Order: sequence, then structure tokens, then C-alpha cells
Amino acid sequence: MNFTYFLLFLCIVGSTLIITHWAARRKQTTRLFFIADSSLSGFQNGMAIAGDYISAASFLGITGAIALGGYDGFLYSIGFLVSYLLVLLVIAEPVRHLGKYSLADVICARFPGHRIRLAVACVTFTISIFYMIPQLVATGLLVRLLLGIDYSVSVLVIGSLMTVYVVFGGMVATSWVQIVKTVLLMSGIFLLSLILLSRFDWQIPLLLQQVKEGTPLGDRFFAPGHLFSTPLEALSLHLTLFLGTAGLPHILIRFFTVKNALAVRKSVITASWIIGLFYVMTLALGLGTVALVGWWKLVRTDPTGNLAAPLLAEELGGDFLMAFIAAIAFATIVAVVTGLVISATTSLSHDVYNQVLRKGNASEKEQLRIAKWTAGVVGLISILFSLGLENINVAFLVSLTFVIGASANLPVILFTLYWRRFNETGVLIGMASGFLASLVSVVTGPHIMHPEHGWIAMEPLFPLLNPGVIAVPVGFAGAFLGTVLSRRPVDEERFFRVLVRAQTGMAPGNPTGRRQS
Amino acid sequence: MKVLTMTLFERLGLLLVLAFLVTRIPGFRSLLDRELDLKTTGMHALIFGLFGIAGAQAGVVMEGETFFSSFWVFQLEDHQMLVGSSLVAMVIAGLLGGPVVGWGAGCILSLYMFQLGGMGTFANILVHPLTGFLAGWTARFFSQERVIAPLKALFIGIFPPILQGALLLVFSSQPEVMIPLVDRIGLPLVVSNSVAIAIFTAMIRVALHEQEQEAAYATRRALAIAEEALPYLKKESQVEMADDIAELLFKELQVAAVSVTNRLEVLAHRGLGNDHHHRGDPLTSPLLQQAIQKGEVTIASMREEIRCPYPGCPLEAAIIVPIVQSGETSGLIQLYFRRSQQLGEVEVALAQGLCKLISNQLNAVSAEKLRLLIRDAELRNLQAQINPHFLFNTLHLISTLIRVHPDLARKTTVQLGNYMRYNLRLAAASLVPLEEERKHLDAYLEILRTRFADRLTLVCHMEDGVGRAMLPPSTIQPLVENSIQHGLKNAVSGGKVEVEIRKVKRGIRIIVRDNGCGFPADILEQAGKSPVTSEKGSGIGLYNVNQRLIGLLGAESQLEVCNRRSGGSEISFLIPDQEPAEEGIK
Amino acid sequence: MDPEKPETNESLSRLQSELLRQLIRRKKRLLIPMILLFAVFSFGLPLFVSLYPRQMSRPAPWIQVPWGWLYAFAQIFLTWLWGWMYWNSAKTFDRLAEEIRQRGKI
Repeated sequence: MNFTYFLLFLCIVGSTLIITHWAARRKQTTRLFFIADSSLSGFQNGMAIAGDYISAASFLGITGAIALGGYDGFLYSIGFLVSYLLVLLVIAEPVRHLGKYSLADVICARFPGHRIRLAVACVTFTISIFYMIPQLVATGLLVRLLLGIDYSVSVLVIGSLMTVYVVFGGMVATSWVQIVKTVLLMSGIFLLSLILLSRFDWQIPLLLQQVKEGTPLGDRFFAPGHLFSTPLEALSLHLTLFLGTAGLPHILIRFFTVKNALAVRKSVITASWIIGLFYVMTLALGLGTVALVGWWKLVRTDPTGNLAAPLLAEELGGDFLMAFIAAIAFATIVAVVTGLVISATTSLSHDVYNQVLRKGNASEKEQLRIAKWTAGVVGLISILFSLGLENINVAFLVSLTFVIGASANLPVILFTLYWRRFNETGVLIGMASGFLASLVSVVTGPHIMHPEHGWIAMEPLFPLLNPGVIAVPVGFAGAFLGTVLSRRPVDEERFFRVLVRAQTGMAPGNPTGRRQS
Repeated sequence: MKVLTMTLFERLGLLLVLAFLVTRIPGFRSLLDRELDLKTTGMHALIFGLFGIAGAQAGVVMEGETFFSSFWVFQLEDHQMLVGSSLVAMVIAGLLGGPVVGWGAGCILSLYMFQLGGMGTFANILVHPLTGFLAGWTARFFSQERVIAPLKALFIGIFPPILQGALLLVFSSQPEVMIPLVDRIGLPLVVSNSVAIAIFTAMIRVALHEQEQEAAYATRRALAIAEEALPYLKKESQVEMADDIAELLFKELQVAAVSVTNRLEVLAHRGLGNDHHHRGDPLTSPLLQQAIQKGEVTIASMREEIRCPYPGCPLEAAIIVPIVQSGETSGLIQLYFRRSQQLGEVEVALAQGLCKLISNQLNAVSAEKLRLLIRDAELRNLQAQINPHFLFNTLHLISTLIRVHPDLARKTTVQLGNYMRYNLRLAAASLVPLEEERKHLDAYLEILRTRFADRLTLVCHMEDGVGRAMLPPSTIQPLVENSIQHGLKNAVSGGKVEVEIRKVKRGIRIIVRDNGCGFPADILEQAGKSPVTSEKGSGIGLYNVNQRLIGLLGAESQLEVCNRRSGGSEISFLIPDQEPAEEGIK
Repeated sequence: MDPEKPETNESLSRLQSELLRQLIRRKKRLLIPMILLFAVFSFGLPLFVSLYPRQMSRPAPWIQVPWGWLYAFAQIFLTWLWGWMYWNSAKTFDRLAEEIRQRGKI
């Protein structure tokens, strides 16, 4: 086991534990646990969102994708960034105004009721778990690769850490771990880019020239290749990414951690700048990998290309720099999984337990206790799942979550916020149809059903790798039809009140009943 | 790598010893004060810069695969690099002094690195100011404490060496040489630097803690002394109070001598020089007068300033602490020292603290007294309203007059009504116009005239234009009452009580004269100054009036009691001319 | 809630809803075109790339960068630009929302 790696990893673990300890010392309330008492500034939350969003898949995966495929890899990363505009313009502020701790709060602000809440909570939970598992698996593999520690042990350690952060530090620890990760990641990548450029005497044409030599694609490296077999696939993927972020619960709950709409706006814009800069720099790193490490060596070491960034670091700065980059990758994963744990915890403890089972009557102390226990359970479940999936390719789960977000969550959110006629039936049918469509199309698609290396060795029933172009319209259609075909009358008054609240942040006088929240 | 780490730690040990010695220097404490003027910032930056240079020299020279240590490196060859703990000083500079100090210290290091030469100069020039600045900038972010916790400092200290390594790689023209070098020094630098930063931070914390402990100790002492002094402050006699206070202070403060004075003379002296510093000595030194005037703690650091007339007086220096009551200096406490070097900051701070505490306590004590007196006067007023003797006698008078002199009876009834009405009104206010008090007195006098028509003559003169002066209510009537009940109690006829209210230079003087038997000699001294208990309760009356006059109008208003040469007594008091603003205690 | 004037709530709601309609109208006017434009531009990228890969590889005049790359970079910059534009216009929305809030107070 390389001592340098171990020491740097230990530093990451140590500083995150200090953050957790500091967060745990504050007086614990549910507000603090779930939404950090809305105490983050816009800028800080922006960094936390970026930290929550940029996973190892982005850092290692996209660098590798660019190194392997050139332009196509870069194209892939663009989709992640542009989704933030939709979030900024239509989703972020209304969600902040309507909800308290979770996405289900937002929907139930207009449609109170246990069925709705359960439905939303289920989808949230599923997304969080589906997203988390590939991350944990990736960590296990990474730690095994770099430190030589057994896979199970690493998964166990990482899983326990993320659970500890959430159980003791709640959203505060989560947010600050993510902020620290963002700072580390951006400065590390920035330094790496500087070193890279200095290698080429700060002349980009020289770099580009070298790139051409480093890849078997030669000149065609820079040309759009054949990442997408058909235009439909390209469109589908882009659609999924464009709409997906706005439906991801763990991103949406981040908006509750700031004070008001202005801070939300600032958060999203800050996040978009950071993420944009990040992808520009990963472009540089990907190109650098090709130029300095070479395609052949990369593929030899890891055919998926995920080791591009560490290999580049080794080339540029030897073992020490590589250790630093590996530590950053480690921190990246830790931050993301922690965010997912708290998202899953919120949906289980706040939505299912407090609101549904206890009808909103649980005391502060009880809510906190249940929340912490739930976090432990969530951690445990994730660890158990990940332990069993050591050698399975679970990367598709990430794209699955985006599809579910775009097809099950987003239509419902949009209609809740903006469509007068929308009703409970629409919510249920919409979520169900979107969710099922995504699930079915992925399970019967080329990820799972593949004659050679799929789980089910058959020809795929569903042709597309990216089912978004089918699943998303199905989700919208389900929500639409469910509303239109049901016999419920339109509750104008309720819609109006929700609209006022969503757009202005105030709850107008309600002479007839309690405000649902 | 291990050998390098060990060597770095060994050399670092020297640096740590040096740093520890620095923290023992008393002036070091000022380094921790964050006053941000240009001069102190520059000074701090310079000190940390020098420290950084020492840190760099506490490193080793890397040459290819090997390294060696030397006592002092003046110049480096092109293929050599000095690897040390210069970043430690930068981080500490930033953490303690802020981003500007950190950056400034870094600039000094940059100059030094430039002069030194060797490999990676450019990177070293950049990294030091950057580290100092960033450390200062993020310290605010991470910790609100004055000095950051060593563990947090440890983590912050991990990153500068990484930054240094990265910058070395960025600005290197020979990557094939630089990469193995960075590999070799990376981990040892990270470990040694971060641990060093943690240890330094811990040392500084200890030094700061000591300072705070000293201050806390001094404060505790001051509070304990003030608490012990409280019962003495409540004493009535000034001389006794002064004696006890002097004794207490001399015992507790361990100074050469303690003197307690009032505005004019020494009241008590304890300690050295008590052979020639006596009670009753006048206050000669102008410094003392100044202290009385200003009401501020004054320091006499030379014998000349003390102005002791005795040639062999061993007292060289003094701290003069005024005792301030209601905005006026009522006395001084002087703490004497044998030599002026013994006058330190701690002593002065202690004296200032004591001054405030004692003054506050005296204020509190007198406010308490006054409150009781006012309540007492209210009670008296209430009593007077239903004073059975007066009421009974007056009603009896009325009943006898009804048959014989119905007009007079009616008039007396009206006066009785007036008197009681004024009593009611007066009970509410702390100061009333002289006009009102005159009317109150008139009602009372009328009744008395009717009662004692043949035995007493009661006269009241009031000058024009004094009616608007303010004075405490029920102050003149008790004086008349006192004259009649004591001075004229045995007079069969020809008794005369005269009330005179006239303007004088300093204000308005109110005089109550009688031609009775006068005050007995033993009572005369104490009249009004302490409550004299008697069956009729009038001894309390004079005392009550006196305290209220002093408390509400000032010391000038106190009752002046004397026996007239022609027989009888005279009690008078002054309503001083009021400045429009001051009205005494509200 | 003013119990003496029960119709006050009604009239406030009416005023509020009028202001709200204004707010929504303005928001729609700005945001819908913004989103549509951006969506078209954004989806254009994968479409063009998969339909016309050769044209996208050809370098643009003056700057010798292929159109494809320009388009891709433009996406990033446009995201930032659109975000900045929204940030500016949002101040007007904030003002309107504040007004609606104020009218909601008694």
C-alpha cells in the first residue's frame, strides 16, 4: 500500500470528520438536520450544489471519455451543464417557496394527501439509492486500485463514513463536505491544467498537435465521431440530460438550505459557473491525457478510460501528484454519496414516517431520532447492495436516475407549478407512467439485455441505449391524460394560492383551513 | 523519503526551540493584538518574514537524488533546491495576522528566494505570498477563535506544500528532473510542515492563554476586594470608613502604603511613611487636586509629583484613584509604591477597576439610603395626614371654637383641609416649587396660630421672586415642628418662631428661628447628621430632612444647626442656585 | 385577518391576483422565449452533430476551430449568458413579488 496515497486519503477523511464534529456541536433541530437551518449563503450553496452534482463519473469518466473519443466525450459533458438553465428559470425558486424539507412537500403543497406523498417519496428514495450504488461501487474499485485494500473493506469504510457524516452532522456536515470537495476539486484541476499547459510552453497549438499523435483516431479525434449510433440516440440523451437535473431530488432539496429566492438564484448561477469551468478544464485534461499518456497506454491500463486523470497526473507530476488527484477523486465521491444519503433519509423519515405514518404529529425530538436512525439504515442498505455488485457494471444506473428524474418527477413538478387543471390523479398516473416507462425501457434495453455482456443474454427488446425520448413523453402524457380523463373538478382556489406562494414566497390568508406544509 | 522526513523534523526542532523562546518574550504578546495600522502590520510581516527565512534555512539542500544539510546556505547552484519549512511561517503569519500580514511576509520570502537562486526560484517566489494571503483569507472562514485550533491548523497546513509542488511543476523547464524531485519532497514536506504548523499554533495558544489567565486573575482580585469593602462603605463615619478601607487595601494589594482622603485632607494612612503621613494632613500636591477635578485615575511616577514634604519619605510613586459619587469626586485613594518600576500595567488596571467598583458601590449605597429616606418621608407624610395628635388636637380646637368663634372654626377647618390636601399632593413629587411648600407651611402655621394664639407668635417672611425654586417637599414644616416641640415645649408665653426665606449670593436661604431653650450641647453636634431616636419621633425628622436635602440638592444644602447667642435655636439650609441641567438624583 | 371587514380579504385577493397576473405575464413573456430559444439552440447540437458530422468538422473561417467545437463551447457560454440575463430581469420580478407580498399584509 502506497503510503502517500494512504496519508492523503486519511487527510480527506480527517478533515471531513472535523467538519462533522463541528456540525454536530450545534444545537440539533430538525431544521438544522434537514436543511441546515437555511443558513447557507447563495455562493456557498452554489459550491455545495456543484459538489453534489459533479461525481466521479464526471471527473474520471468524462476525462476518460474525452481522452478516448475526443469531441464526443466533450459533447457528453455539455448536456450536464445546460440542464441548469431550466432549473434556474422555472424550477428552483418555486420549489424553494413551496417546500419545507423535501420534494414531496412541494407537490403536497398543492395536493395534500398520503398517497401522493408516498408516491413522491418512493420515487425520491429509488433515485437516491440507484444513484448511490454506482458511486459506492466506484469508490470501492478506486480504493482497491490505489491502496490495494480489499473491495469489501473499502465499501464498508466509505459507506460507514458517509453514514456517520449524515447521522451526526446532518445537512450542515453534508453541505460543508461538498463545499470543501468543490474547492479541492477545482483548485486541483486548475493546478493540473496549469502544469499541463506549462509542459507545452503555454502554446495550445503544440498541445493539439501532440494530441493528434497520441490517438489512433489522428485528425478525426477532433471530429464528431460515432458515439451516437443514430441521431435519435443523440437527441434522446440530450433530452434526458436537459430535463433530468430538474427532477433530481437531491439537487432540489439543496434549495431549501438558503434563505430566500435571491439566494437560490445565486446558488444556481454559481453552480452553473463552477460546473461550466469544471467541464472546460476536464476538456483540457482529457486532451492532455491523449497528448502525454497516449491512447494506447490508457486503454491498456483501463479500457473504460476512467483512469485518464490519475495517469495524466502521474505523467505530469509523478507519484505525488497522482496521489493528490486520487485523493480528490475520493473526496468527490464521498461528497456525492453523502448528499444522496441525506436525500434518501429525508424522503424516508420526513415524508414516510413523519407525515404519513405519524400524520405530522411527531415531536422535534422524535423526528430527529428517527431521521438519524433512518440515515443509518439507508447507509446500511447501500453498503449491502454495493457489496454484492463488485463485478457488475452498474454505470447505467446513473443514466437511469436521470431518465426517472426527467420522466417521473419533472412533468409532475412542472404541471404542479404551472398547470391550472392538474389534479391528484394526474400526479399519480404521471409519476407511475414515467417511472415504469423508464424502468421497463432500461431493463429491456441494451444495457441489461445484451447477447454478450448483458445480465439477460438476449436481444434487447427496447432499441435505445438512452430511453429518454420515449420515457419522457410517456411521463408527460401520463400526467396529462390522468388529469384530463379523471372526473375531478378543478380546484382553482388552491391553484391560485399555490401560484401566489410559488411565485412570491408568501402564503396568502387562508380563511378556511390549515396550510398544508 | 523517510530519511528526508526525519532530517527535516530534526532541523525543525531547532526552529521550534527558537519559536518557543520568542513566545516567552513579554513583547511577544503584542504580536497577537490585531491592531491594523500600517506600522504594526509592517512589523508583523517583517517578523514573520524573518521567521520564514529561518524556516527555509532549517531545511536541507536537495541535489538530484541526495540531500545535505548545512548551517547556513548563502547561495544555491542551478541544480540545487532548498527544501524547508518556510511555508510554515507564511501560514502562521496568515492565521494570526490576516491576509495582508501573510502576503507581506511572503513578499520578504520572495526577495530572499530570489537572492538565493537555485532550482524552482520562480515557483518559490510565487508560492510564499500566495500561501500567506490564502491562509489569512481562509482562516476567517474556518474559525472564529482568536487563534485557530491546532488540529484545524494542521489540515490547513497540508495544502501549501501541495501548492508549492504544483507550482514547481508548472514553472519548471526540466520536467524530467522536477518530477522525481517533487515526488521525493512532496510527502516529507506535507508531513513536516503541517505538524510544525500545528505545534506552533499550540505554542501560541498557550502563550495567549497565559496572558488571559493573568488578566482573569487580576480581575478576580479586584472583584474580591470590592466585595470585601462593601460593609465598610456602608459606615456612616467617613473617618471609620477611610480607616477600614485603607487597612483592607494595604493588606490585599501588597503595596508600599495606602492613603484614603476626602477632598481636603487625609483621612487614613497605612503602611510605609505613616510616621509622617497622618490623618488631617492637607492635600498639597497639585496632582491630587487634578485627580479630584478630573475624576480620573492619575499616576505619579516621581517623588516630586507626590510632593511629600518629609525629606526621607520612602515613597516614590503612586497611583491616585478618585472615588466618584454622583458625578463628583468625594475623595481619593492613593496607592504608594517604593519604586516607580513597580508600577506596572497590571497595577494600574487593578487600580482603575477598583476605582470604578468602589465608586459604583458608594453610589449604590447612597442610592439605597436615599430610597429608604424618601420612603420614610412618604410614610411620614402619610403619617402626617393621619397624624392622630395633630388631627385630634386640631379637631378638638375646632370643636371648641364652633360654639365660641364659629368663623374661626370654619377658617381652621379650611386650613386643615388645605394642609391635608398639600400633604397628599406632596407625597407624590420628589421636588416641589417653593411656592407650594410655602402654602403648605401657611396652612400649618394658621392652624398653630389658632391653637397657640396666646402662647406663640409664628411669622413667615418670604422674599419676592423665589417662589419658583425647587426643593424637596415637607422640609420647612418639620423644622417648625421641631422648634415648637423641643425648643418651645416649656414656653408658657412669648415664644416666637420665625421663618425667613430670602435670596442670598449662592441661592435661597431658609431659616427657622425660635427663642426657645436651644439644642442641648450633645445633640447639637449630631442633629440632622444621624437619626436621634426620641419618643416623639422628631429626631428622625431632622435627620430625614437633612438627608433629603443633601441627596436631592447637594451637600451645600445640608442643615445648619446652631444655638442663637440670644437663646434659642436656628436651623437653616440653602437652596443652591440650580444650573438648568442638573437636578440631582431623579 | 380583520374580522370587522370580511370583504377586505376578498378585495386584497383581487388586487393581489391582478398583480400576480401581471407578474406571471411578464415572467411568461421573458422566460418562455428564453427557454424555447435555448432549448432549440441546445438540442441543435446533438442533432447537427449526428446528422451533419462532416460539416461540423470543417473549421470555421478566420478561427481555425471546427464548427462543432465552436457550437459546443457556445453552449457553455450561452448557459452563462442566459443565466446572467435572467439574474438581471429577476430584479423586476422581485419587486413585483414584494409588492404582492406587501398587499397581503393587513
